[in-house]
Amino acid sequence: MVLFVLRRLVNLIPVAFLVLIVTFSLIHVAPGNPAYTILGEQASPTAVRLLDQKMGLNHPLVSQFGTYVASVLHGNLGSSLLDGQSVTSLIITRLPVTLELSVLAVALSLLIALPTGILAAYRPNTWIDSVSRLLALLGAAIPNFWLALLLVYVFAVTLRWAPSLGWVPLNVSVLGNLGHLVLPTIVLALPLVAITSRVLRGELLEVMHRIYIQVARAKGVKEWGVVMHHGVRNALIPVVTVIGLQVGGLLGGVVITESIFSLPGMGQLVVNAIFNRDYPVLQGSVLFMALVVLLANLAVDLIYAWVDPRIRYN
Amino acid sequence: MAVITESVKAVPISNRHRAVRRFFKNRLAVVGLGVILFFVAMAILAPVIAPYSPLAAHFSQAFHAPTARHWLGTDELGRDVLSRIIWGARGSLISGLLIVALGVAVGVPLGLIAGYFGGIVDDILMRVVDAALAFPGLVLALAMAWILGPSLGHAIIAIGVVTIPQFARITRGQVLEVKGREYVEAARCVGASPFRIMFHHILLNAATPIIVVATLNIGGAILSVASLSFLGLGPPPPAPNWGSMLQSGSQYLTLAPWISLFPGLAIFLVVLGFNTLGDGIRDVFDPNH
Repeated sequence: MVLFVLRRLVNLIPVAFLVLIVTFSLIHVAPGNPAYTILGEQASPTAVRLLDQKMGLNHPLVSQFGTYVASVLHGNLGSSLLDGQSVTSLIITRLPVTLELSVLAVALSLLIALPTGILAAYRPNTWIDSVSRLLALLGAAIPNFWLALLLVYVFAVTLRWAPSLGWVPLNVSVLGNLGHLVLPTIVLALPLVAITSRVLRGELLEVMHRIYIQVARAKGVKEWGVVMHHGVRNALIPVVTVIGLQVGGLLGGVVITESIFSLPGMGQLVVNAIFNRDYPVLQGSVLFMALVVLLANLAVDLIYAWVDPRIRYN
Repeated sequence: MAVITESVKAVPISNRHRAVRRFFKNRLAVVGLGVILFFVAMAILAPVIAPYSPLAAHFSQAFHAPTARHWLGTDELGRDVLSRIIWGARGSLISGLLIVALGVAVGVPLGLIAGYFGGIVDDILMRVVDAALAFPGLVLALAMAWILGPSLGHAIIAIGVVTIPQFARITRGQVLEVKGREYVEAARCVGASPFRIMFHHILLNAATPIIVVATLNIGGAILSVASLSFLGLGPPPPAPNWGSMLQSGSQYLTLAPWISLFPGLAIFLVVLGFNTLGDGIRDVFDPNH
């Protein structure tokens, strides 16, 4: 297992390096001087010269890249063009909000997806299966920003059951905090429900035909025990993978959800950076999110190898 | 002898018939196809069927709720929401198709090369794909679209680039599965060039999953374009674009919910259409899924 972990970590190095190349070259996608791209076409030559100096844009590309890699390795992602705050500290202050939202969304999605997925597989082609299929179709196709607006309109504007926008920190009021997170959590969870319940259904349907299920039944294990212990346990591994692979999609959803509900998290940071033409913040956040996804994938690999020893020796 | 040639010839035709019949048995997929055709017709016939100009502003008629004159109401500038949705279908459908075309045109050859040649070429290409897939697609597209400047074309490029690695990875997986088959071996024995083997023998036999993923991706691409437009990185204002309509309508949610309600419904239906169509195609070729 130690060897497996080490090998995975070594594999990560070239990929992380390529990720750095991408975030470094982002600004060079547009033709012309990056300083103009950042400041806008109508920027004054003085502002451009200042930015060139500040971000080292007047150095050769190779040395710029060297400086970039070195500072990222030191945890320095540059500083905001607006107020000079360090990007790293901006990310750290906003991370808890995004983390809370994401954890709640994953938890809610499991709360819905596990029972529907299990029941749909246990009674395939019945009404419960149709409901779960419909839920999956809706979850995959519904635009999250539209769903957000619908929920705000129905529950915040019309019924006044939920506060619509804004944020109350957890240490000010727990209830207020959770209240502001109800609608965003639903928006973020729905696509996850869709994928998770369908994958679980497919896996469980296959697992329930295996011989060890028949053996368990023949031994007189109660049906509930057969499904939960022998069935679901074996069907859960791919579900873990799928959730791990959804981290990227989740972060994309976070950007939309946080900007609609004005939650001060990473997603709002990205959108604000775009509106304020604050390139270092945008670049740093994109890099940070990519690293989060890489680590999530690594975690999935490790969980997989831990659960299923055959993978370690492959 | 004549009998044998005839029966050999007949096989693919009856297979195709069976596939078509199996597709049309899938009610959901047929409905999906119907929805797509509906929106395609809407996009093509926009100048004929749109009751009003999508751009003409009539300030005296702003914020009208849906009535017989304006079926879906009017927006903050008094423009007819229905007409703007009808014209907006063009941009949405075209951008969805172009994005997937870009992803396929670049991603499939990359996957073919990686899978066919293997070794170090495969290692390098797949590390690049891994790195590209590490970025949350929407966030990377957002950053790229912003750097290129807000326009529909740039949104298409940004999202298209982000879809390339998906197609490269799927194609590679298919190639690995197909390349050991006997007919590939046979083609190599008779001296077919790697190019011919890759594009003729391998790609044709690996095409089904790529087609399915492409169909499903059109819906996703339309959704991404709408997301970017919603965040202000789509075509600049007066253009009738579903995502931008939703965005500007969201500011009047309490006053005039229909401005953002209906464009969102249009996006939802089109995406649903492509998703069910993609599922249907997959079920035809892979009923065990």
